[in-house]
Amino acid sequence: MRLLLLYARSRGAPTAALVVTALCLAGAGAGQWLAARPTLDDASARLPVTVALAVAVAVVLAGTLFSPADEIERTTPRPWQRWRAAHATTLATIGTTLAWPVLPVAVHGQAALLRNTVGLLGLALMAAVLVGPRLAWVLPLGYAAAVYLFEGLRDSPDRGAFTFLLQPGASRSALAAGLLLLVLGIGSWAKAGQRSLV
Amino acid sequence: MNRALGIELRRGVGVWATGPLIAAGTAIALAHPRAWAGDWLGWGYYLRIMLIVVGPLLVAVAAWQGGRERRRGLVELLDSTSLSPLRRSLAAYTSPAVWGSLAFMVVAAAMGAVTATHATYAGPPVLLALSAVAAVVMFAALGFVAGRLLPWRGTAPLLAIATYVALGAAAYGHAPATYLSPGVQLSFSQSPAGWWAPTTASVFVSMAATALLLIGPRSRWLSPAALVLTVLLALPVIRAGEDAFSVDAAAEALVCADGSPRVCLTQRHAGQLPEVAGTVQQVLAGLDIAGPINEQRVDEKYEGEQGTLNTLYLGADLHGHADLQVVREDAANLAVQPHCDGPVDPRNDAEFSASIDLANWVRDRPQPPYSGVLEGRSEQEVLTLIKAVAPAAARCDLKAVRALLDAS
Amino acid sequence: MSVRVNGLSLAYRKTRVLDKLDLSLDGGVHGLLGPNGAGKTTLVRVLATVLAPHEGTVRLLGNDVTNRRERTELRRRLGYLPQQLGYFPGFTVREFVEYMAWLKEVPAARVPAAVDDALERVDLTARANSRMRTLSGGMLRRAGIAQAVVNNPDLLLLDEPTAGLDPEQRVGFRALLRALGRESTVVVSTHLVEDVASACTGVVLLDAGQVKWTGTADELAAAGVDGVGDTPSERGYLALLRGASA
Repeated sequence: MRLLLLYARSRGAPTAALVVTALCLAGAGAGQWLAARPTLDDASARLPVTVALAVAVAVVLAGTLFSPADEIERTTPRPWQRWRAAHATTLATIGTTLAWPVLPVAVHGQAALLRNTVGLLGLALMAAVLVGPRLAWVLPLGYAAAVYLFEGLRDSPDRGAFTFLLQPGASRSALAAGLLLLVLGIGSWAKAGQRSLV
Repeated sequence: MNRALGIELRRGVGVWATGPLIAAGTAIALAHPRAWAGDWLGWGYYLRIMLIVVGPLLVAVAAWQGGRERRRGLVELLDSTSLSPLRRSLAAYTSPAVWGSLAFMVVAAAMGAVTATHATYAGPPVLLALSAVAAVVMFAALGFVAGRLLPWRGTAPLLAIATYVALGAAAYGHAPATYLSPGVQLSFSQSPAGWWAPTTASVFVSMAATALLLIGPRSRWLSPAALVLTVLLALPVIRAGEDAFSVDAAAEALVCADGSPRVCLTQRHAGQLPEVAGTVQQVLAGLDIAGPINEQRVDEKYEGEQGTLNTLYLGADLHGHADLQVVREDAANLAVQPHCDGPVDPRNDAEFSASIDLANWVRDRPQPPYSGVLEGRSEQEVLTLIKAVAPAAARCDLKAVRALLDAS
Repeated sequence: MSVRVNGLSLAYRKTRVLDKLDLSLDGGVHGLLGPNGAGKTTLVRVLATVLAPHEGTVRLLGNDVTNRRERTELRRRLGYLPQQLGYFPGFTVREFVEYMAWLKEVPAARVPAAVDDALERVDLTARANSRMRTLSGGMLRRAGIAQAVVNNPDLLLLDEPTAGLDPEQRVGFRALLRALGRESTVVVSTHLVEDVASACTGVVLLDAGQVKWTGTADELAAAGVDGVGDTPSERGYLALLRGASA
C-alpha cells in the first residue's frame, strides 16, 4: 500500500485527479449551458463537451505517465510491463468514472463522452511511447482538432471510424474504434514504456 | 539580440509548428470554401473563423515554448547572461509569433489567390486581414506568457482547449463584448465601419503587450498601464457592438442576366451570374410553363412577398462560390413546389411531398419508367402535369395542386 | 566473475559507441576512466540493464542480461546511480530512498532500517525529511547514492558519483566506496583520476568504445612517471591514453 501511495505521488496523481475532477465539473456546467441554448438542438448540443472534455481529461491523465526517475526505476526488479498496463488501465477507469455523471444519456451525451475519453487516452498512451509522456498531449489534441474542425464543419461529416469522436454515443463502430485505440495504447505503453531520452 | 533572435527563429518550437498550423488552416478553409471563395468580404471574415482553430493551436505551441527554460533547467544559466529577461523572452516569443503569423498568412494568401479568381466586387479587405494577423500575434503572446508563468506540463494542452472553448462560446454569443473576440462570427452581408478593423487590431496588439510586459521584473509594472490602454481601445468596439456593421447597399444591389427566366444576383456575387443564370435556365429549359417562371426573375435574395411570382427566393448559399448542384435543386424546387407563407406549413402536406417527385424530375429529367406520384406516366404526361401544377404551386393553391394530381 | 562482457557493441544511429568491448571484473572497486565520448556512460547503462546490447554477451552476477527472468534476478542485486539523477521534487529524501527500496523488493519489514542505514552512509540523516527540491547539487548526488545502496547491492554502478560533492564529502565517499568494495563489486565511472587512485582496486581505461588498458591504481600511477599531469595517477592516465591513441 505504501509503495502504491508513493508511486501515485511520484506520478503527480493527486494533482491530476483534482484537475480532472475540476474539468468534469466545468464540463457538466458547460453541458447544461449548451443544452439550454434555444438555437442548438437537444441531440447534438453537448457535442463540443464530448470532444473538448475528453481531450482535456485524456491529456491530464496522460501527464501521470511521466517519471523523472525512469532511468533508475527501470533498473529495479518490478514487473514494469504489468505495472504500466495496470497504470494505464487505472487511468481509463478513473477517467470514465469521473466523466460518467458529467453528461446525461443523449445522442451526443454520456456514452459518447466515455468512448471519446478512452479513445483519446489510448492515443495519448501511444504518443507517450512515440514522443515521450511530456508531449503525449500532442496526438490527442491534434487529432481531435483535425477531426472536430475539419469534419465537424462539413455539412455531411464522414461516418467512418476515423471520425469516431463525432459519432453518436450509440454508434457501435465508433465505440469499437475508441476501445481499439485504448487497447493499442495500453498495449504499446505496457510494452515500450517511456521513450528513452537517448 | 539579433543573433539570439536568429537562433530562436531557427531552433525554437515555432518552426516545427508551421506545418501543422498551415494544415489546420487549410483544413478549415476547405471545410467551407463557398463562404470565402467568391467574395472578398467573405474571405476577410473567414480568416477570423480560422482563428478559432489556429488560435488555440498556436496558444499551445507558444505555451510550450514559454515553459522551455524551466523544463530544460535553463533559467539560472540564462539569468546569468547580460540579456535582460524581457529581451530574452521577446527573442524566445518571436519563434511562435513569427512562424505562427507566417503560417496564417500563407493560408490567407492561398485562399486570397482562389478568391481573386472568382470575386468581382471590391478588393481584399486588407485591414480585416491585418487585424486577424494581430490576433495571431496576441495568441502567441498569451500562450507564451502563460507557459512562462505556469510551468506545468498540462498548461499547453489545457490552455489550447480553454482558448477554443472561449472562442467557440464567443462565436455563438450575442453580447457586444463578443465583437472583441478574434473569432467572432460576422454577418456576410454586412461590412464593418472603417475604424473597426484597425481598432480591433490595436486591441489585440495592446493585449499582447500587456501579457509580454508581465515577464520582465521591471517591465511588469508597465503591464497595468498597457491593460488600461487595451480597455480604452476596446471600449469603442464594445459600445458599437453590431452597430459597427452595416449593409453595403452597392454590394447588395441586384444585377440580372438576360434570358428566361431572368436571374439576378447581388453585386457582391455578380461574377458568378453567368454560371448561376446558365444553370437555372438549363434546369428550367423546355418546361415552357405558362406565365410564372419564364416571365419572372430568380433572385439570390428574397425581396418582396412570398406566395407571388414577382420575386422568388433562390436558396443556394451564395456567400461565396456558388454550389451549382444546390442551384440546380433550387431552380427545380422553384418550378413546382408550393410557395406558401404564413400559418400554412406545406411540408406537412401530401401535395408538398408529391411535388418533391416533380422537382426531382425537373432537376434530373430521367427517362421512364417513373415511381412515386409519377408512376405509370410517360415523359410527355409528366411535362404536362408540371406545366399545370406550377402556377398553382406558385400561388400556394394547395387545393388546386391536389386536384391536378388526383385528376391525372 | 561478477561482470563478464564479451564482444559488446552498441551504436546510436550510425555512431558506434561501444565497439566489440571485452571486460571481466570481480569484487572490489573498479574505476572506469576515459575521455569524453569514450563510452563510459553507455557501458554503465548497459551494465545497469537500461540499454540492451546490440551485439555481444553481458553476464552480470552470473545472469544473462538479455534473459528476462535472469535480468529480474540480477536487478534485485543491483544498485545504480545514473549520470543525471531524476528525482521527484515533492518527495522528501526519506520517501525517495524508501520508494526505491520498495521498487527493489527490499522486504517490507526491512525497509525502514535499510533506508536509515543508506541515509546514514551518505551523511544525509539530518536532511531526511527535507523535500528533494530544496537540496543542493551535492546533497542530491548523495541522495542518489543512498538509493543506489539501499538494497545492499552485489553490483553497484555509479556514474560520476562525486560530481558536486565538496572535498570533505568526497573523502567520506571514498571511504564508503572502499567499504562497499569489500562486500560487492563496484563500478565507478568518473573523470576524477584522484578518486580512482584513492578508492579503486582496479582501473579500466576506455577509449573509442574499447577497453585500452586494465590494471591497478598503483600500476596506473607507475605508467606515467615523466609525462604531463599534476599527480602520478594523472600522468599515468594521460600517458596510457596517448599510448592508446597512438
